[in-house]
Amino acid sequence: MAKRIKLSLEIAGFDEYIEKLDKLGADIKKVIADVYEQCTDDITEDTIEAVKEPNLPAKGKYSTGDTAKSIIRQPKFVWQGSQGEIGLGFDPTKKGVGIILITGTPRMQPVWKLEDIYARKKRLNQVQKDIDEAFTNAINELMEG
Amino acid sequence: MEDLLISTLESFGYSVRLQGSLLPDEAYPDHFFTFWNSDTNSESYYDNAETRIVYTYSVYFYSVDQTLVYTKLREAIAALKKVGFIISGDGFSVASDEPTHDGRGIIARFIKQL
Repeated sequence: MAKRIKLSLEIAGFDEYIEKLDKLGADIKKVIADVYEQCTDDITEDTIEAVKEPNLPAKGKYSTGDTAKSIIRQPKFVWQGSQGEIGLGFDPTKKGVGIILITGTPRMQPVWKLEDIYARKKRLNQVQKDIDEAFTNAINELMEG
Repeated sequence: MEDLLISTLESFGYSVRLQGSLLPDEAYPDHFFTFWNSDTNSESYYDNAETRIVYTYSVYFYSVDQTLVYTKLREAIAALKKVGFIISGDGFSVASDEPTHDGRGIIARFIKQL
């Protein structure tokens, strides 16, 4: 799995948000990008925390610091035509074992804190709620002028 | 649900281990499965009781045969789907501790109505 973790969400009511933003004359692409970057900020912070040595296998005995350096620190929402994505997690072009810490190996269990961020539904559900709220706030601010 | 997962994978005749359970000095079998239960999530409630649970498992196949990691995992996908697991896609590559082995994995979910 040598790729960045891509957060893919289907936001309930997404089309309605877009319709409202369009009617308000908003720069839709900018609003969406801002919302996603704002709502995924703490994922980066939590990832940095998760790879601190006490949280790693063998309490970080084998840690070289490369994995922490490979964390995408300021993820940007990128548009490709009408589709967009924000890459979170670990940059596969850099040295580090981030993906392995998430999947584990036959001799090493997955790192619980990273699994909690990237593999469990509870975290994704929370991000979805945050995005819903951020869109609502953005629309309200635009309506208030 | 792990019983169903394990017994389905064991039907292929390879050992099935929990991810991370091989000891540091334990040799890898030539071909084997591992699994990990990454999530168990209540999906719905009625009258203050949960009515549906979704189990999420990672399933990995490791082998010294780089073709078998693809073919065997695809067979595992078919077998798991047949007993009710929900699996999307065709798997992804995963690293192994040993340079002799390639690995591939899938995410398998099971919805249990209570």
